[in-house]
Amino acid sequence: MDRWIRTAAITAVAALVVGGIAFSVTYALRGADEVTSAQEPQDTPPEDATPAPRATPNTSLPNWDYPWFKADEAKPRFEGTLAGLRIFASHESAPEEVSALELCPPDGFELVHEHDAIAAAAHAGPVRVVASHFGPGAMFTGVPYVWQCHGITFSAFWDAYLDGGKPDVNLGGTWVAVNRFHEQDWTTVLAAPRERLEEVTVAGRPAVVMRAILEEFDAIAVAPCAAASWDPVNRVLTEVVAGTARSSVCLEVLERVLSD
Amino acid sequence: MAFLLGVTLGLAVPKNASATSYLYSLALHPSGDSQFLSCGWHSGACWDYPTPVASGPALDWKPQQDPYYSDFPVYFKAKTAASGGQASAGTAVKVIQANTQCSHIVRVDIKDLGGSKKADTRYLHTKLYGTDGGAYTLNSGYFPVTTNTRIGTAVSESGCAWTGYHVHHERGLNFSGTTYYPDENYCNWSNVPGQCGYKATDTYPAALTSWYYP
Repeated sequence: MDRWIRTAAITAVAALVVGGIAFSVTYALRGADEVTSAQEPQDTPPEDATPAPRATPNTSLPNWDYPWFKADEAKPRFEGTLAGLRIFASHESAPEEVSALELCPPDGFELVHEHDAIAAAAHAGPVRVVASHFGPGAMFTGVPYVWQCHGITFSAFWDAYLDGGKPDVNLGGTWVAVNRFHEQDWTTVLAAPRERLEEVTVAGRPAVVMRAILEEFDAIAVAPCAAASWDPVNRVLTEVVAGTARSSVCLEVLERVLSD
Repeated sequence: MAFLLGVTLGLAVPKNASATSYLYSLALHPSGDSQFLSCGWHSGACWDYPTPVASGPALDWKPQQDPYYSDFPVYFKAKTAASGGQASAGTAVKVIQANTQCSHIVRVDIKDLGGSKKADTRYLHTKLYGTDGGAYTLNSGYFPVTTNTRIGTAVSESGCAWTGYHVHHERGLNFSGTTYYPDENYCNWSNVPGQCGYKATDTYPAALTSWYYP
């Protein structure tokens, strides 16, 4: 009897050892289970998919932001005057631009050469644009475009990149552009449904801000944002546009420009 | 029996899941209607010599050899492949960056399927066509699939230091330029005509980018 019990015990232990080794080796050699959720390849959501108003987007779904873009695109764009600035939805409905030849007779504007552009933009008076306007960490891949009429700066444009990873900037970062121009009291960069536009005061001046399509969720801004101000005294239009950022970014840059 | 039981359990017990990551490769092509290269890779304006021109990330295109004085459509054109054969690689969004005399600029932001920006490109001397902030599906497949979407119209910027209608197409963030098109040292129409001219823009991309998702 004792011998039988001893034999059974040895057999059981041996079975456990063999089974355990077989399990361990098999489990270790086996690949990880694959996710079978929405991260698998999927086609584009149907173009008529309309997000429910203020519905929380499921950002794990491929092309989750596409319905938001399409829903916004379907809404009529505002046209009218806000904060003293005339807003048009497209260049088709906007006034005819005054030709550079008329603005600066007889030959039009001169473009400041790249070698001198940064300095020229910094000394451009009411249309001054400098690197600090874009905020800390801004990265520049080029110099400003500065247009002069007989030595007087008429317009300055510059853009930069801001890193992503902040709540108000898309994960991949954003470009930000500042455009300052004399004499044009209208803009098309604020083309949006009325609900995305707001009259605000920036650096004591009336301005209009355009919110991005979706701003409630961090680092996934569904863009663009814009902010603009018309200065009737100096007759200067200042526009700020960011490709993939919340309106707070556009307002901060406009604040720095108008406070300078 | 113990061995077989061990193997069975080793296969059946759930293991930590991992997502399969797919590679998306996008080739950015010049706008299809503009096949005459008038200035090779440059930065800023393509000045007439002897004014120095810097090499850079932009190519100048127009439909025909100059003089060319008529507006023409400008397209965002990309060919995208996905290693998993996905029909969509993400979204392209067109945005007005500036729209005042001498500064007519349209930008296209490229996002992956998760909405994260991956790259961008811009078109100067171009007015936006359609809705600002308009989004387009980036088509893709196992083999490159074309997305060809009109995003603008070339504009007259007379009196702005350059002559004639053309599009200054600049590769932006995260794009690398190809060698299919020459540097401005070899093409600056018309005083350095050497490698300017009509190009097979549908065949040869101007820039490349890629990313993994998820």
